[in-house]
Amino acid sequence: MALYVVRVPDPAPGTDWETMVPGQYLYNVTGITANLTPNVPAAGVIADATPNGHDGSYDGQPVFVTGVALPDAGASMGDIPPNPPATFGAIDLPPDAIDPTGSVTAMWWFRRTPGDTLTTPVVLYGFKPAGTIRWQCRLEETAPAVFRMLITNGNYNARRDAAPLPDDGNWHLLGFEYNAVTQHGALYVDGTPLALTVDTAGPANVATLDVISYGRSSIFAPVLHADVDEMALFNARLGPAVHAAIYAAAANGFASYQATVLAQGPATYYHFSSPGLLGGRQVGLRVTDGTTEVGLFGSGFPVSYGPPPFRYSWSPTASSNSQSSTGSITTVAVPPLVIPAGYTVGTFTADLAAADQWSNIALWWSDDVQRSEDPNLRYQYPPGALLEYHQIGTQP
Amino acid sequence: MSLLVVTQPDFLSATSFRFVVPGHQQWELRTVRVDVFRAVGGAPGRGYALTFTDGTTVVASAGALDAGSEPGTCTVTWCQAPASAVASGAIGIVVAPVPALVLKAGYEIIGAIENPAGGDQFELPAVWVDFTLTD
Repeated sequence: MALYVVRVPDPAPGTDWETMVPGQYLYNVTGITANLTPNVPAAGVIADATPNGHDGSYDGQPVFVTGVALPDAGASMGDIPPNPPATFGAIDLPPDAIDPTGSVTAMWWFRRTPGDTLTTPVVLYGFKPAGTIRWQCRLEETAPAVFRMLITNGNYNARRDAAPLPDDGNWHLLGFEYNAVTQHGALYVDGTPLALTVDTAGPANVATLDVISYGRSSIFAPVLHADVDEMALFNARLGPAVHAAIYAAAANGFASYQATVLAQGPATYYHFSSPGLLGGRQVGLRVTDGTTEVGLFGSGFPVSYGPPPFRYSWSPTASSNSQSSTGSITTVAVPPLVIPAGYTVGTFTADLAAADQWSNIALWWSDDVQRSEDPNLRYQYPPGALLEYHQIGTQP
Repeated sequence: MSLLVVTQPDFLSATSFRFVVPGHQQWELRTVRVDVFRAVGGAPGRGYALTFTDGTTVVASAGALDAGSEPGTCTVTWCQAPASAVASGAIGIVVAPVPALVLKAGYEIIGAIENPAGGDQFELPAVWVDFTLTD
């Protein structure tokens, strides 16, 4: 028995790799390895995960914020690639996806730097021209910092203050609702509605919602040292049961969380992560007979959001699939692959992005089956054989 | 070894397919794979079943999970590998284990969608076998 390694050339960016068993060979595949490096495009664009196809853009400091879409306990996905310090400026979200006359729900994951002092409030708000009527969802620095909601007629007559803002260095899911029917609002932390202190003044009538800005209390000032991720905005009041279900879905992995959010029909849904990691990169090993696919073997794990590259190893002798905690190394158990000439082996990567790059691809095979099938190997030369090269003809 | 990919089932409908081992052949099963177009309304109860019979009696069966959002497509591969079900949005990839079966002439391989939604559709079923001729 002899073992051979085939180095498969790197494919073009944004394409899967594939190799064909050459003529008169019979591979008994021992293992396959390859690396996938998702590449981040130029900064400045947040891609929308909803079918709206609506992209937002950063206003102010053009940096990405790190994002982990799940709470630390029980998370099945790791941090996405770290980025510069997460001090972000205002993020203007396109207003046209939000119904200015109806109820609104906003939710996002939030992790503040412990002990960090908010210099000025961080506000998610909407307002009419001239700012006479508005609702606000504010993160204010009092002692301790609070998560506050204002529904006002411009004179701050209606305030509903919340409990202290989480400040433990962990990720938390924050939620804000405005109910256009009752003109009341609600705040949530980790899927649980907060008991609010209700001002005695009457609620305001929010007639229009012209813009939603996140991350600033005034037009000009960047304000918060924190991380945010997975902001979803809905043209509806979702209610406590839905908030709880969305938070619970996070414990089952990012795929579960995202599916649960999308099932509620968000008007916009921003990952706030490195845009190159939007889709998920779900990798399958694909085997064909040259024409027909005979198998597509997935990894068995949710999409990876850890630091690239993602290293894959496919093994016919593994008894189960396994993956490191960050998703950077995945071993996939595949069936025995004894494949003759003309068969192809490669990958099918769902949501492969244009700048993604497969590399370091190696197929390790044994000729034990080939030897048993055909002892007279076509390309085996006895020791001492002399190969002579003769060129026939010349090229004009 | 004589590897063969059979792409013409004996029967194919939206939610079922059947391959029959021809006379004078013996199949050593490698993989069975099929694409599924998944319409809205099947999740979460939808699943896939692969059943082997001797022409009359069920001798083995293997279930497979569903994966992906709806509407979407899912590729299911039954083979000698651990089970897995993953998805990226509407694209699902499912692997379900089956033993290394040896099927004689007349044996059947039957695939079915369990609890399908209206509009579900099996597409491009194929069986990869190592076949031998028998008397």
